Amino acid sequence: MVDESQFRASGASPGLKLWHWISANPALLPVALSVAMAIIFALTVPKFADLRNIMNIFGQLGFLGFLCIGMTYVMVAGGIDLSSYTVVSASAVVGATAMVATDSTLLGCVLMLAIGCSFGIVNGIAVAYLRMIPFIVTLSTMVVAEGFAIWFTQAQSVYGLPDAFIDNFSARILPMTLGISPRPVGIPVAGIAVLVAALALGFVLSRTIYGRRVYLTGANEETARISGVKVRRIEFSTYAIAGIMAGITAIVLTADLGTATTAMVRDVRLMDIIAATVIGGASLKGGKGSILGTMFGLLFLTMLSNAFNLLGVSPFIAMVIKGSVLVAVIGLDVLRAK
Amino acid sequence: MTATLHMEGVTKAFPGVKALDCVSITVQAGEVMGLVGVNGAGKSTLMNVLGGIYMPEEGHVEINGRRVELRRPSDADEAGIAFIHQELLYFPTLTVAENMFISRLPAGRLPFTVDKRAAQNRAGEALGQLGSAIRPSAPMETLSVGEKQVVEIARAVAQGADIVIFDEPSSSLSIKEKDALFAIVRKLKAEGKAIIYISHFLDEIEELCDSYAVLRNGRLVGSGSVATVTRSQIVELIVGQAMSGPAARKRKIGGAPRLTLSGIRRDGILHGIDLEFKRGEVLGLWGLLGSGRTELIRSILGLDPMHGGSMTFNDDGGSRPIGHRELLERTAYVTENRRTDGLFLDEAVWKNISATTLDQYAAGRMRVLDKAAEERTAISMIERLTIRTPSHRARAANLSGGNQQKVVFAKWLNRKPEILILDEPTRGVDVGAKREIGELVESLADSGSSVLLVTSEIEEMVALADRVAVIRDGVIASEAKGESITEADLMAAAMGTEAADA
Repeated sequence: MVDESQFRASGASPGLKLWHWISANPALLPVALSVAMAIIFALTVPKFADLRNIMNIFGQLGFLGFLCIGMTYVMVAGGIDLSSYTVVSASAVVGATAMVATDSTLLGCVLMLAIGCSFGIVNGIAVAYLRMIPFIVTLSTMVVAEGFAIWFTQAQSVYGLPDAFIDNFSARILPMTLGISPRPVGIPVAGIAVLVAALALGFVLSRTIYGRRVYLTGANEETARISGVKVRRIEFSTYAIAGIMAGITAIVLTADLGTATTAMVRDVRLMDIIAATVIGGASLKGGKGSILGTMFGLLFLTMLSNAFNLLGVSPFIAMVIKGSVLVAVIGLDVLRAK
Repeated sequence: MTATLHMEGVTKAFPGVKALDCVSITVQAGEVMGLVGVNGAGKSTLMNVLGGIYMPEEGHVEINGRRVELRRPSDADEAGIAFIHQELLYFPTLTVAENMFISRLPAGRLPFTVDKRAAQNRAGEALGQLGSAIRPSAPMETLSVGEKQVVEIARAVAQGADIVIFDEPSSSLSIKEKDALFAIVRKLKAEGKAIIYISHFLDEIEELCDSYAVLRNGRLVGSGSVATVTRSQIVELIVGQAMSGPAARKRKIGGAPRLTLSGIRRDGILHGIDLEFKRGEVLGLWGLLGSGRTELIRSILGLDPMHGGSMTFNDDGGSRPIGHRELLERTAYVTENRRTDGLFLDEAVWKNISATTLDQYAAGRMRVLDKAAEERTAISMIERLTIRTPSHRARAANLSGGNQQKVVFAKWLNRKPEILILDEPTRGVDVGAKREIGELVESLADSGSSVLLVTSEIEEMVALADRVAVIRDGVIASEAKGESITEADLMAAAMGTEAADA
């Protein structure tokens, strides 16, 4: 069959070449989608291109961005993590309660990270070492985390957080004023934090030996194992990373909302997390995806919600469109594999 | 029913390459034609024309002197052409009978029901015609590879195929199953079917076929009666040049054994295996499918459980016990099935090649990979092993079998392995690549590697191994060395038909 691949490379038409180039760079699709959306919305949706709204979108990336980064690691290694969004609540309520009781921002943050990480470790042990199916394991921990959060708080929101905490994490830095907007516009800390995390973890995934091993494990676990990759350790680590990302999300969201509740990330947003990752080029079969792609996938979905919000369109229509886009992207992925 | 198949002047071009250039072949009723050629010579394309998958630009197909148009796979079905594929497709949980009649199950008395008994009777009949005792009610997954193939053949016969094409049917069969397959092919021949038999094994062509046809670069370069041609003439036609015989071996084998296995056990499969791997030696492990040969390898490398026994490693510092993990790290393991555990099929060739030696390219505390260096190494490996690929960035899945196998070798060569384990290293690989792989194995052993070779190809074993251990039912039944390694002895020892006295 070598011949076949040779024609593909050589005598192909420009259209075919473009197609192969796109296939080889799956992050292009979400980038293109995002740019197209941005242009369309900027031209058609009033106030969409206001600096204030742009900063709004940027800040919103901070809420799901960390979870999407974690999901990308897990999916590239061939797994899936359904639990992250309820783990956010479980981490947040415990950390916030401790913060209210002790007035220590540090203790609260450390607790949120620790609980997020613990859930990740449990997922990781169950999947990597006990060889349980990721879907079932993380579905179970999702329920556990949700139940735990409700039980712990008796379904009450946690209020009275230290001002220092809220100020630090929900602040907007570099205030600037823009002619069209009467109020000062700042860059949200959450957006900056997720950008930094995406750059750092994107670098680790795409450039380091660890990142390559994550890809190889997802591409073919058995081949990776025989090639000397410690596949169980790799799988385990991706769930731990996803857990830590849930902990960070707990901190950012708690500060932004000024409270910790049992449903900080609603269940429909799990769909957004998976959709952003898949639109970003990840495959449910593993071995594919990138942080760059995922972040643009998330940007695309966030802009969609934002624009519909500005237009006053029902958020449920946004759900219909998001779901359709996801199916279309998966369909494209199937085509690309042929 | 009998049929004569004639293909006249078939030409098929893909952008950039003429895959078939005016190929004409004729297979008479009751004739078995062996179709040979390297991977990429055009065999598959020719068969895809017969299967209605490709339309040729020129030329046509005649059956019994009448032109047939094969525009889609169902046309081939109706024309009585059936394919027995190398990789069998079936529904594992359905029964043999259901698999055989999947598209035309007899209807039961109630609507939407199936008359299982009728299906089973018809399946039993078709299997009986082939002299097989497979139960039609057995779930497909409980059958051996050979039995599944028999079911596939029975299906073709039951559908009234007069022209049967076997695409490398023997490559995953045990020796006994191969004999059973040959008997069936002969039976079909006696019934007057026209048969095309594609194989890389020339001994099979000699034994089974009446005529042969050799394809090279899309052209028919030779055909005729098998009786009038020698094996080396066919090889010459296949590769396009004369081949020299195997070089005489003058390798230095010696010193303390590098790895000593003693009493390796795995419950129900391995019952106390003792083996020594010497430096610079090709140790053959010969046995039938299911004798424990692959299982032994997987157990000592820690890929499957090991329930007893010990492993001693000997490096310059003297001998010491070695664990599974360290052994795996010191071993290059070319697995039996490159598609499932030898390659990352969706990844680029260069990523496949560097996968075993990533540490060499990692720098700094972050262990950042030097991709440019990885690609350079891959390119030089592609040149060194003459891997035919459009680019080092091509996906491994797009390469032919032989070139994929060379990628697997390239992946391990970079590590300069102390121990090299080869499980069926030339399965599904064409004659030219087979020879190159053989030379590679020799040169690795010459440079001091300890090689363990598992192969079902007896000629390969005799040609490459310095010493052969015969494994049977999970124990080492006998050993043979040097001149005393002969095809007949190995076969007899593996099958246990003769007292092992070698």
